[in-house]
Amino acid sequence: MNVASASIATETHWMFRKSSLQAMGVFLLVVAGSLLALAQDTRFVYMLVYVWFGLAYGVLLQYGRFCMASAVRDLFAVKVPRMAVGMMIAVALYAVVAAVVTLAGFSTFHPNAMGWHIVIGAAIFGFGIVFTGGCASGSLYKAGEGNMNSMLVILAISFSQAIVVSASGWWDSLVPQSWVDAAAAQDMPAELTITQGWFDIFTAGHIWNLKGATTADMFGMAESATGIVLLNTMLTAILPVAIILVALYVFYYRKGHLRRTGKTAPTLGDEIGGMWAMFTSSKNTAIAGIGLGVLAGLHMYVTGMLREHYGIFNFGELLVAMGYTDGLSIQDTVFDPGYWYITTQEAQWGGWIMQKLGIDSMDSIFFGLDNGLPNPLLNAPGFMSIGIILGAAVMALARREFKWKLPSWETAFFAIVGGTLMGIGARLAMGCNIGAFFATVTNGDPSGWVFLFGMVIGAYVGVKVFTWYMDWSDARKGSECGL
Amino acid sequence: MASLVNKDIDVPGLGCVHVVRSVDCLGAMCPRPQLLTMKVLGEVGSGAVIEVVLDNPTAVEGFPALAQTLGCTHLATVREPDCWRVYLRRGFF
Repeated sequence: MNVASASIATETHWMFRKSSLQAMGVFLLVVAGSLLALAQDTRFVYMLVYVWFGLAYGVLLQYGRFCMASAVRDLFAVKVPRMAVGMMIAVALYAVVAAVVTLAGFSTFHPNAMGWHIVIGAAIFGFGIVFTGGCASGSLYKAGEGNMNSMLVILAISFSQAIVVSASGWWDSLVPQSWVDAAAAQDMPAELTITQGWFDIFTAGHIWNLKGATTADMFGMAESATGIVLLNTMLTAILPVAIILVALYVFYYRKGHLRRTGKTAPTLGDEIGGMWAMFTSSKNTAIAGIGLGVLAGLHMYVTGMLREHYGIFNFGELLVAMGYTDGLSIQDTVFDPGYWYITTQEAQWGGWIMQKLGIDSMDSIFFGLDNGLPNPLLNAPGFMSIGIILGAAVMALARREFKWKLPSWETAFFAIVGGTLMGIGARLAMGCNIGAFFATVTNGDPSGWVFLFGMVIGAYVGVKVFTWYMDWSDARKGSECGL
Repeated sequence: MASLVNKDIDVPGLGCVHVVRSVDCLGAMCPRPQLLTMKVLGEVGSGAVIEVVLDNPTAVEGFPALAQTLGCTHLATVREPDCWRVYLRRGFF
């Protein structure tokens, strides 16, 4: 029988503990920064929506120790479905709220192009997350806990993406001539040098020829409530979630549960009770899943309303109106998904620093045509990522879990290599487990399930390699302690 | 890294418990703590108690669920200023 966790009693009231005051300090810093931005221009409220949703994501991610990397990795590494269950709860809730937002006409979602690139990119991404100890958003909230290893992962993701999307020269030999020809046939401005740079050729010569659609789009029912609710929400999100939850119960939880409860001939009621026990085996994770799902949907709603209020489609238009024109794409746009997204803004951080160092990448489609390279102080989704770090820091400090942790040489190596693979994978798949999975399947885009499939394959191989490495490493050290 | 301890430890809420092995996971990123614990549990006898020392909040959160899967009993998680100590008994008792 499990015994409840014990904790050491403290004599100081929690409100007056040093860590609680530090948590309050971080929170007040965000409040002060927000007020300062609004004092500059009230239209910065658009950016502050990202900040505060990011802060809330960070609080919930840290509260539930919500790590999507462990959702797939733990199934293979230790056969524990806890986080996979939490992730599925979040998907179901996000899908329901996304349906309401779409029906209200405030959805900011755009489907991803479907193709093999998703499986390959997601597999590389899934392999990388096993070695970094967290996915892209997991690395952000762990950085908020003071984990410098995760900060290295963020750096690696940022720069690897920036290099991948702007690299040219020998990289160009990686793509077939047919893609070069297809890219050349695109009617694009000369300054983008569209046939130079392998990622530009990949994007213009391959991705742009693929189709992306929600399930409702495929059946010509994107505008109808029936299409949105039945095809996008129920068929594309809720049904697969239900099937995955039943599979997790049957293959990972049921046997142990029946053994613990002593049921040899379980009834349907016992099975339902078992499913419920699986859902509630980690209440913090389940609560975080519910909160994240609802918030992610609301985020789209609030951004959609603000876009309507200001009469814009992209934050770049608002920046121009406020007099900030540096770093915009040639379409006067910046990256502005309007929902939870992680990797592209990190690529922009890396690209912006590289630009300051004299390496210009604005001739790439990724930065020059689509996302721009805005100053990080004007990068709205970038502030969402910073919000996640700060929100996690607030929660970690309040729970006395904040701790500066220096990486070892080994974990630093894994962080840089794994983070680089995550960056490469995320760009090939057009997003990470948040942007290319979580945000897609919940909005009726089945490409997200393809991403999950690829990520699972990558994580499976990653766990095998990691386990082999641990055994090899332990054997080499001689294990003086008997391992 | 795991070490032989074979000593009695006073666990808050449980009293005196005889711990046979201690697994040091300080500074370790997932999934190393979980894999190390799985390995050590496979090396101790039924009913034996092991201690896992962690400073990774995400790993700590998952240990009760991990215990169920590994066929052991999660006895307690003790919070200390810089780490957690998780006590697991092999087998369901």
